[in-house]
Amino acid sequence: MALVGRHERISATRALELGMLSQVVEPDALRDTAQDLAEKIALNSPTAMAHTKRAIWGALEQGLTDACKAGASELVAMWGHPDQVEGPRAFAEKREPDWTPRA
Amino acid sequence: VTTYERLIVERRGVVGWIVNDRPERLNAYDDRMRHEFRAAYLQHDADPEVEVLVHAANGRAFQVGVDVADLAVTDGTARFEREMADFDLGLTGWHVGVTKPVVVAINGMCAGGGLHWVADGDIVIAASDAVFVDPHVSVGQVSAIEAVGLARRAPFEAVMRMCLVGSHERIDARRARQLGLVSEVVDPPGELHARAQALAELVASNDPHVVREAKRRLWDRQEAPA
Repeated sequence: MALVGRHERISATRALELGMLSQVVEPDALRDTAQDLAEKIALNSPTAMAHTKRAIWGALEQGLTDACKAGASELVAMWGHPDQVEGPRAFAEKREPDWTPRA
Repeated sequence: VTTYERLIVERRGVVGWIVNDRPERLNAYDDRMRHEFRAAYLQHDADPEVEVLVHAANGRAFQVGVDVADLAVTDGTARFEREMADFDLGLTGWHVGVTKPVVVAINGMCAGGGLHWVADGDIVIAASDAVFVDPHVSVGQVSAIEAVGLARRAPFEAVMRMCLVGSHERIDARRARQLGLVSEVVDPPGELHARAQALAELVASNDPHVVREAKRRLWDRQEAPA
Protein backbone atom coordinates (compact mmCIF):
# COMPACT_ATOMS: atom_id res chain seq x y z
CA MET A 1 0.00 0.00 0.00
CA ALA A 2 2.78 2.42 0.94
CA LEU A 3 4.82 1.65 -2.19
CA VAL A 4 1.99 1.50 -4.73
CA GLY A 5 0.62 4.78 -3.43
CA ARG A 6 -2.52 6.19 -5.05
CA HIS A 7 -2.49 3.57 -7.82
CA GLU A 8 -4.23 0.96 -5.67
CA ARG A 9 -6.87 0.88 -2.95
CA ILE A 10 -7.69 -1.67 -0.25
CA SER A 11 -11.41 -2.35 0.15
CA ALA A 12 -13.10 -2.55 3.54
CA THR A 13 -13.61 -6.29 3.02
CA ARG A 14 -9.92 -6.86 2.36
CA ALA A 15 -8.99 -4.66 5.33
CA LEU A 16 -11.18 -6.93 7.48
CA GLU A 17 -9.44 -10.04 6.11
CA LEU A 18 -6.06 -8.49 6.89
CA GLY A 19 -7.07 -7.62 10.45
CA MET A 20 -6.54 -3.88 9.86
CA LEU A 21 -10.08 -3.47 11.22
CA SER A 22 -12.48 -5.80 12.98
CA GLN A 23 -15.92 -4.96 11.58
CA VAL A 24 -17.48 -3.81 8.33
CA VAL A 25 -20.97 -2.26 8.41
CA GLU A 26 -23.33 -0.62 5.92
CA PRO A 27 -22.30 3.03 5.45
CA ASP A 28 -25.57 4.32 6.94
CA ALA A 29 -25.09 2.23 10.08
CA LEU A 30 -21.51 3.28 10.78
CA ARG A 31 -22.08 5.94 13.43
CA ASP A 32 -24.75 3.96 15.32
CA THR A 33 -22.47 0.91 15.33
CA ALA A 34 -19.54 2.96 16.58
CA GLN A 35 -21.71 4.47 19.33
CA ASP A 36 -22.93 0.99 20.40
CA LEU A 37 -19.38 -0.35 20.49
CA ALA A 38 -18.14 2.64 22.47
CA GLU A 39 -20.98 2.20 24.96
CA LYS A 40 -20.00 -1.44 25.49
CA ILE A 41 -16.42 -0.38 26.16
CA ALA A 42 -17.66 2.33 28.52
CA LEU A 43 -19.19 -0.39 30.73
CA ASN A 44 -15.67 -1.48 31.73
CA SER A 45 -13.37 -0.17 34.45
CA PRO A 46 -11.71 3.00 33.11
CA THR A 47 -8.59 2.47 35.23
CA ALA A 48 -8.23 -1.18 34.22
CA MET A 49 -8.61 -0.20 30.56
CA ALA A 50 -5.94 2.50 30.87
CA HIS A 51 -3.39 0.03 32.28
CA THR A 52 -4.43 -2.62 29.72
CA LYS A 53 -4.08 -0.22 26.80
CA ARG A 54 -0.63 0.86 27.94
CA ALA A 55 0.49 -2.78 28.37
CA ILE A 56 -0.69 -3.78 24.89
CA TRP A 57 0.89 -0.79 23.12
CA GLY A 58 4.06 -1.68 25.02
CA ALA A 59 4.07 -5.03 23.21
CA LEU A 60 5.19 -3.18 20.07
CA GLU A 61 7.93 -1.18 21.76
CA GLN A 62 9.87 -4.01 23.41
CA GLY A 63 10.73 -7.67 23.01
CA LEU A 64 8.27 -10.26 24.31
CA THR A 65 9.78 -10.92 27.74
CA ASP A 66 10.43 -7.23 28.45
CA ALA A 67 6.93 -6.33 27.27
CA CYS A 68 5.42 -9.03 29.51
CA LYS A 69 7.40 -7.72 32.49
CA ALA A 70 6.19 -4.20 31.72
CA GLY A 71 2.66 -5.63 31.44
CA ALA A 72 3.08 -7.31 34.83
CA SER A 73 4.00 -3.91 36.26
CA GLU A 74 0.80 -2.42 34.83
CA LEU A 75 -1.13 -5.30 36.39
CA VAL A 76 0.55 -4.89 39.77
CA ALA A 77 -0.07 -1.10 39.63
CA MET A 78 -3.83 -1.85 39.77
CA TRP A 79 -3.58 -3.87 43.00
CA GLY A 80 -5.44 -2.18 45.81
CA HIS A 81 -7.60 -0.11 43.45
CA PRO A 82 -11.29 -0.18 44.47
CA ASP A 83 -12.36 -1.37 40.97
CA GLN A 84 -10.51 -4.65 41.56
CA VAL A 85 -12.93 -5.45 44.38
CA GLU A 86 -15.99 -3.79 42.86
CA GLY A 87 -15.75 -5.77 39.61
CA PRO A 88 -15.97 -9.28 41.07
CA ARG A 89 -18.50 -8.11 43.69
CA ALA A 90 -20.84 -6.61 41.07
CA PHE A 91 -20.48 -9.77 38.97
CA ALA A 92 -21.39 -11.96 41.97
CA GLU A 93 -24.35 -9.72 42.82
CA LYS A 94 -25.47 -9.63 39.14
CA ARG A 95 -25.50 -5.82 38.92
CA GLU A 96 -23.68 -3.16 36.94
CA PRO A 97 -20.35 -2.19 38.55
CA ASP A 98 -19.93 1.26 40.06
CA TRP A 99 -16.41 2.16 38.91
CA THR A 100 -14.22 4.75 40.56
CA PRO A 101 -13.59 7.61 38.10
CA ARG A 102 -10.03 7.83 36.79
CA ALA A 103 -7.73 9.94 38.90
CA VAL B 1 7.19 -37.48 40.87
CA THR B 2 4.12 -35.23 41.03
CA THR B 3 0.73 -36.75 41.76
CA TYR B 4 -1.76 -34.87 39.62
CA GLU B 5 -5.22 -33.97 40.89
CA ARG B 6 -6.19 -31.19 38.47
CA LEU B 7 -4.54 -32.45 35.28
CA ILE B 8 -4.31 -35.72 33.40
CA VAL B 9 -0.65 -36.11 32.45
CA GLU B 10 0.19 -39.09 30.26
CA ARG B 11 2.15 -40.23 27.23
CA ARG B 12 0.44 -41.48 24.06
CA GLY B 13 3.26 -42.82 21.92
CA VAL B 14 5.74 -39.99 21.43
CA VAL B 15 3.19 -37.37 22.48
CA GLY B 16 3.07 -36.05 26.03
CA TRP B 17 -0.46 -34.99 26.97
CA ILE B 18 -1.53 -32.41 29.53
CA VAL B 19 -5.32 -32.31 29.95
CA ASN B 20 -7.02 -29.72 32.16
CA ASP B 21 -9.32 -31.87 34.28
CA ARG B 22 -11.25 -29.62 36.60
CA PRO B 23 -14.40 -29.33 34.45
CA GLU B 24 -16.71 -28.50 37.37
CA ARG B 25 -14.80 -25.19 37.69
CA LEU B 26 -14.45 -24.71 33.89
CA ASN B 27 -10.78 -25.61 34.46
CA ALA B 28 -10.12 -22.39 36.36
CA TYR B 29 -6.79 -22.84 38.10
CA ASP B 30 -6.39 -22.86 41.85
CA ASP B 31 -3.01 -22.87 43.55
CA ARG B 32 -2.75 -26.65 43.21
CA MET B 33 -3.41 -26.56 39.47
CA ARG B 34 -0.85 -23.76 38.99
CA HIS B 35 1.75 -25.97 40.59
CA GLU B 36 0.73 -28.90 38.40
CA PHE B 37 1.04 -26.93 35.12
CA ARG B 38 4.71 -26.24 35.82
CA ALA B 39 5.38 -29.81 36.93
CA ALA B 40 3.61 -31.35 33.91
CA TYR B 41 5.40 -29.22 31.31
CA LEU B 42 8.80 -29.87 32.89
CA GLN B 43 8.06 -33.60 33.24
CA HIS B 44 7.27 -34.02 29.54
CA ASP B 45 10.18 -31.81 28.47
CA ALA B 46 12.57 -34.02 30.47
CA ASP B 47 11.01 -37.33 29.36
CA PRO B 48 13.20 -38.87 26.60
CA GLU B 49 10.16 -40.80 25.29
CA VAL B 50 8.24 -37.58 24.57
CA GLU B 51 8.90 -35.66 21.33
CA VAL B 52 5.93 -33.28 21.21
CA LEU B 53 3.48 -31.99 23.86
CA VAL B 54 -0.29 -31.49 23.55
CA HIS B 55 -2.24 -29.33 26.00
CA ALA B 56 -6.02 -29.84 25.90
CA ALA B 57 -8.97 -29.85 28.27
CA ASN B 58 -11.91 -31.91 29.49
CA GLY B 59 -15.37 -30.36 29.88
CA ARG B 60 -17.10 -27.45 28.18
CA ALA B 61 -14.27 -24.94 28.66
CA PHE B 62 -10.60 -25.09 27.83
CA GLN B 63 -9.75 -22.74 30.67
CA VAL B 64 -11.12 -19.53 32.20
CA GLY B 65 -8.14 -18.17 34.13
CA VAL B 66 -7.57 -18.01 37.84
CA ASP B 67 -10.19 -19.39 40.25
CA VAL B 68 -11.10 -16.22 42.11
CA ALA B 69 -12.99 -18.19 44.76
CA ASP B 70 -9.80 -20.10 45.58
CA LEU B 71 -7.67 -16.95 45.71
CA ALA B 72 -9.99 -15.59 48.37
CA VAL B 73 -9.71 -18.55 50.74
CA THR B 74 -6.12 -19.84 50.49
CA ASP B 75 -2.62 -18.44 50.71
CA GLY B 76 -2.63 -18.75 46.91
CA THR B 77 -3.08 -14.98 46.72
CA ALA B 78 0.32 -14.29 48.25
CA ARG B 79 2.02 -16.75 45.91
CA PHE B 80 0.13 -15.44 42.89
CA GLU B 81 1.11 -11.86 43.69
CA ARG B 82 4.76 -12.79 44.24
CA GLU B 83 4.95 -14.74 40.99
CA MET B 84 3.28 -11.93 39.05
CA ALA B 85 5.59 -9.31 40.54
CA ASP B 86 8.58 -11.48 39.55
CA PHE B 87 6.93 -12.48 36.24
CA ASP B 88 7.45 -16.14 37.10
CA LEU B 89 3.98 -17.46 36.29
CA GLY B 90 4.79 -21.10 35.47
CA LEU B 91 1.54 -21.67 33.59
CA THR B 92 2.60 -22.35 30.00
CA GLY B 93 5.41 -24.13 28.22
CA TRP B 94 6.92 -20.77 27.28
CA HIS B 95 6.83 -19.64 30.92
CA VAL B 96 8.90 -22.64 32.02
CA GLY B 97 11.21 -22.83 28.99
CA VAL B 98 9.98 -26.01 27.31
CA THR B 99 12.21 -26.81 24.33
CA LYS B 100 9.95 -29.38 22.63
CA PRO B 101 7.06 -28.33 20.36
CA VAL B 102 3.76 -27.64 22.15
CA VAL B 103 0.40 -28.09 20.41
CA VAL B 104 -2.48 -26.36 22.23
CA ALA B 105 -5.99 -27.65 21.45
CA ILE B 106 -8.74 -25.25 22.52
CA ASN B 107 -12.32 -26.42 23.10
CA GLY B 108 -15.32 -24.42 24.28
CA MET B 109 -14.77 -21.34 26.42
CA CYS B 110 -11.29 -19.86 26.53
CA ALA B 111 -11.50 -16.76 28.68
CA GLY B 112 -9.14 -14.37 30.40
CA GLY B 113 -6.16 -16.28 31.74
CA GLY B 114 -7.08 -19.16 29.42
CA LEU B 115 -5.64 -16.98 26.67
CA HIS B 116 -2.13 -17.57 28.10
CA TRP B 117 -2.03 -20.88 26.23
CA VAL B 118 -3.20 -19.29 22.98
CA ALA B 119 -0.49 -16.64 23.37
CA ASP B 120 2.26 -19.13 24.20
CA GLY B 121 1.49 -22.28 22.18
CA ASP B 122 3.80 -23.18 19.32
CA ILE B 123 0.82 -24.49 17.35
CA VAL B 124 -2.75 -23.64 18.39
CA ILE B 125 -5.84 -25.35 17.00
CA ALA B 126 -9.46 -25.04 18.09
CA ALA B 127 -12.67 -27.02 18.04
CA SER B 128 -15.48 -25.37 16.09
CA ASP B 129 -17.26 -24.69 19.42
CA ALA B 130 -14.34 -22.63 20.78
CA VAL B 131 -14.95 -19.01 21.83
CA PHE B 132 -12.36 -16.48 22.91
CA VAL B 133 -13.13 -13.64 25.31
CA ASP B 134 -11.08 -11.48 27.66
CA PRO B 135 -13.32 -10.28 30.51
CA HIS B 136 -10.56 -8.71 32.64
CA VAL B 137 -11.55 -5.03 32.29
CA SER B 138 -15.25 -5.88 32.78
CA VAL B 139 -14.46 -7.11 36.29
CA GLY B 140 -12.00 -4.36 37.16
CA GLN B 141 -8.79 -6.23 36.29
CA VAL B 142 -5.88 -5.36 34.01
CA SER B 143 -5.32 -7.58 30.96
CA ALA B 144 -1.60 -7.51 30.39
CA ILE B 145 0.46 -10.67 29.98
CA GLU B 146 -1.76 -12.77 27.69
CA ALA B 147 -2.69 -9.66 25.72
CA VAL B 148 0.95 -8.72 25.16
CA GLY B 149 1.74 -12.16 23.80
CA LEU B 150 -1.33 -12.18 21.54
CA ALA B 151 -0.63 -8.66 20.25
CA ARG B 152 2.69 -9.92 18.87
CA ARG B 153 1.22 -12.87 16.95
CA ALA B 154 -2.24 -11.73 15.82
CA PRO B 155 -3.51 -8.49 14.27
CA PHE B 156 -2.99 -5.78 16.85
CA GLU B 157 -6.43 -4.20 16.48
CA ALA B 158 -8.25 -7.47 17.06
CA VAL B 159 -6.37 -8.08 20.29
CA MET B 160 -6.89 -4.53 21.52
CA ARG B 161 -10.62 -4.74 20.73
CA MET B 162 -11.00 -8.06 22.57
CA CYS B 163 -9.21 -6.68 25.62
CA LEU B 164 -11.06 -3.32 25.76
CA VAL B 165 -14.56 -4.64 24.99
CA GLY B 166 -14.13 -7.27 27.68
CA SER B 167 -17.02 -9.62 28.43
CA HIS B 168 -19.37 -7.83 26.00
CA GLU B 169 -18.09 -9.60 22.87
CA ARG B 170 -16.70 -12.98 21.89
CA ILE B 171 -14.50 -14.18 19.03
CA ASP B 172 -15.69 -17.46 17.54
CA ALA B 173 -13.47 -20.22 16.17
CA ARG B 174 -13.96 -19.19 12.53
CA ARG B 175 -12.87 -15.59 13.16
CA ALA B 176 -10.01 -16.80 15.38
CA ARG B 177 -8.69 -18.74 12.40
CA GLN B 178 -9.05 -15.74 10.06
CA LEU B 179 -7.06 -13.68 12.55
CA GLY B 180 -4.39 -16.33 12.90
CA LEU B 181 -5.05 -16.84 16.61
CA VAL B 182 -5.44 -20.51 15.67
CA SER B 183 -4.25 -22.30 12.55
CA GLU B 184 -6.99 -24.89 12.24
CA VAL B 185 -10.63 -25.35 13.27
CA VAL B 186 -11.71 -28.93 13.94
CA ASP B 187 -15.31 -29.86 13.19
CA PRO B 188 -17.04 -31.71 14.75
CA PRO B 189 -15.58 -30.59 18.10
CA GLY B 190 -15.36 -34.18 19.32
CA GLU B 191 -12.55 -34.81 16.84
CA LEU B 192 -10.28 -32.20 18.48
CA HIS B 193 -8.14 -34.53 20.60
CA ALA B 194 -7.66 -37.06 17.78
CA ARG B 195 -6.60 -34.25 15.43
CA ALA B 196 -4.20 -32.84 18.04
CA GLN B 197 -2.60 -36.28 18.43
CA ALA B 198 -2.26 -36.67 14.65
CA LEU B 199 -0.78 -33.18 14.26
CA ALA B 200 1.66 -33.80 17.10
CA GLU B 201 2.74 -37.06 15.45
CA LEU B 202 3.32 -35.18 12.17
CA VAL B 203 5.57 -32.71 13.99
CA ALA B 204 7.30 -35.60 15.73
CA SER B 205 8.10 -37.21 12.38
CA ASN B 206 10.56 -34.37 11.67
CA ASP B 207 14.15 -34.34 12.92
CA PRO B 208 13.75 -33.43 16.61
CA HIS B 209 16.97 -31.42 16.80
CA VAL B 210 16.04 -29.36 13.73
CA VAL B 211 12.52 -28.83 15.07
CA ARG B 212 13.76 -27.64 18.46
CA GLU B 213 16.29 -25.34 16.82
CA ALA B 214 13.56 -23.85 14.60
CA LYS B 215 11.36 -23.33 17.66
CA ARG B 216 14.19 -21.71 19.59
CA ARG B 217 15.02 -19.30 16.78
CA LEU B 218 11.42 -18.26 16.17
CA TRP B 219 10.87 -17.52 19.87
CA ASP B 220 14.21 -15.71 20.06
CA ARG B 221 12.95 -13.45 17.27
CA GLN B 222 10.08 -12.48 19.59
CA GLU B 223 12.61 -10.93 21.96
CA ALA B 224 13.26 -8.09 19.49
CA PRO B 225 10.84 -5.14 19.38
CA ALA B 226 7.91 -5.84 17.04
